[in-house]
Amino acid sequence: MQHISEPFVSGESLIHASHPGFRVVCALLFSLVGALVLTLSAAIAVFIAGLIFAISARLPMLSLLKRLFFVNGFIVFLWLFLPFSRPGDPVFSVGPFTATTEGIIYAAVITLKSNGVVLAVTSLLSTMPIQLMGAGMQSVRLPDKLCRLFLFTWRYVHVMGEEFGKMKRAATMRGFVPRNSIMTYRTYAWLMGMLLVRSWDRAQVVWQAMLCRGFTGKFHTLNSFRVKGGDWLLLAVTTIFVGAIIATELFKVEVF
Amino acid sequence: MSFPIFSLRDINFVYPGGNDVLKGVNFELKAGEKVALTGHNGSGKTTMLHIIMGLLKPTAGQVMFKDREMKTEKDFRELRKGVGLLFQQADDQLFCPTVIEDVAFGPLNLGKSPDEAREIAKYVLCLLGLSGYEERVAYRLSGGEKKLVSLATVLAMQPEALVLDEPTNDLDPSMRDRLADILCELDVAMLVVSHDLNFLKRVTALEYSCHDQAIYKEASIFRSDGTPSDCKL
Repeated sequence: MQHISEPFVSGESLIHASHPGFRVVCALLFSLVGALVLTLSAAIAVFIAGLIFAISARLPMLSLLKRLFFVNGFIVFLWLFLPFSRPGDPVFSVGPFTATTEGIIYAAVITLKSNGVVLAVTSLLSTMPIQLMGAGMQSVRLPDKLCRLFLFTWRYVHVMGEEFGKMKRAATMRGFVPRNSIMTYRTYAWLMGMLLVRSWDRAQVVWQAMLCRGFTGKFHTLNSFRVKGGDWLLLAVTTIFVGAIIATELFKVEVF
Repeated sequence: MSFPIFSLRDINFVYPGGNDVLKGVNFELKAGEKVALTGHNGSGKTTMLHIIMGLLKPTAGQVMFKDREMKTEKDFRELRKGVGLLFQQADDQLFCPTVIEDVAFGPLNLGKSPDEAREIAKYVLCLLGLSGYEERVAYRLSGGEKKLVSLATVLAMQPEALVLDEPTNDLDPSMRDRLADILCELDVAMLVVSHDLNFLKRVTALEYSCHDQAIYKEASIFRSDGTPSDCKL
């Protein structure tokens, strides 16, 4: 059986010990502001703040690098195009394409802020088991539907995966080898179609199971978390970071 | 004579598309009765259970809970407090992140406070020999454990009757024995749908079968005095 791995959950730090709801709020606040910055200096600030989060959460280096590697795999493609896409001072040319300072800065801003946000979100959210994060989302009154969708997705993604695996094995048992052929694409289309049908059926039955146990539309929760001093500290630090990032952005602090 | 917990009166059911599944079905379950329901695949057993629970609406006929007729969804909410359904697939029944949350889901819906619900859940888990499973993640349990936890989620509603849909599917012999032991000990009425005759012999006392779109009482392999063959009531 394959499990969703949660490499950052087991650990000890101030962040690990803090209130799940507070962490969700901090992550939301930070990633929202982090994603919106446009200047290089603010992007650097986002990255530094992300690093500070990662250091204080004492994330295991290897798993963290692996995660960043995936993120930057996408960003590499941006570096192939963005430097050439903006008008401005030419730096160098490849054939008919000219890279500009503005283009390079733009690519750097995206790289820095996405890494910063990933570092912060990993430190804040990946350091708790997913079920706790769901409870945390509920505890800070995020919309009930959103929390439920999130928890159900997590609960059933594994069942769906297993179902897909089962069907794929059944196909393999009957000599199916994926090739670049119409037959292959058709088979995959059928598998996906069946998966959709089965998910739909399962959703029906789960709904019935909920009705049988008295569900009337409100999801009650057992969890109640106590708010500690450390939680307010975390929120305060995040607010300071966010404030500093916004200030850097607004006052256009020059780096070069 | 004890009063039936629930009963079906002249139930007809036709699936959209037109094939009759049930025709003129009458059935009742009285307090303390342990009844087996057998029948071929597709003979309408699961359909009947879903009609009892109000998940399917019969084309004709009445579903009674105690002495009241169940008509609306609101009526059936009452019935579902008294009658618990154990689904065929445990994965369908366990939808909460952790075991304790899943078992407490029913009591919370019935208006218990989180503390009360937690107490009930712990008690039921203990009753089924599942103490220590509270914080386990539901989807990581084995098939047998999932089955027992889903039974716990139903028992946590403190029902007067249990309706079990093929409870021994996918269980290994030792887990099947464990489940049979648990069900023998429970002091609630039961309707057990299964193909597993040995299991039925241990757990139930009366047999009904479902064929030709109706339910028939069997003069069966079971003892006639109303007690299951090898467990005390």
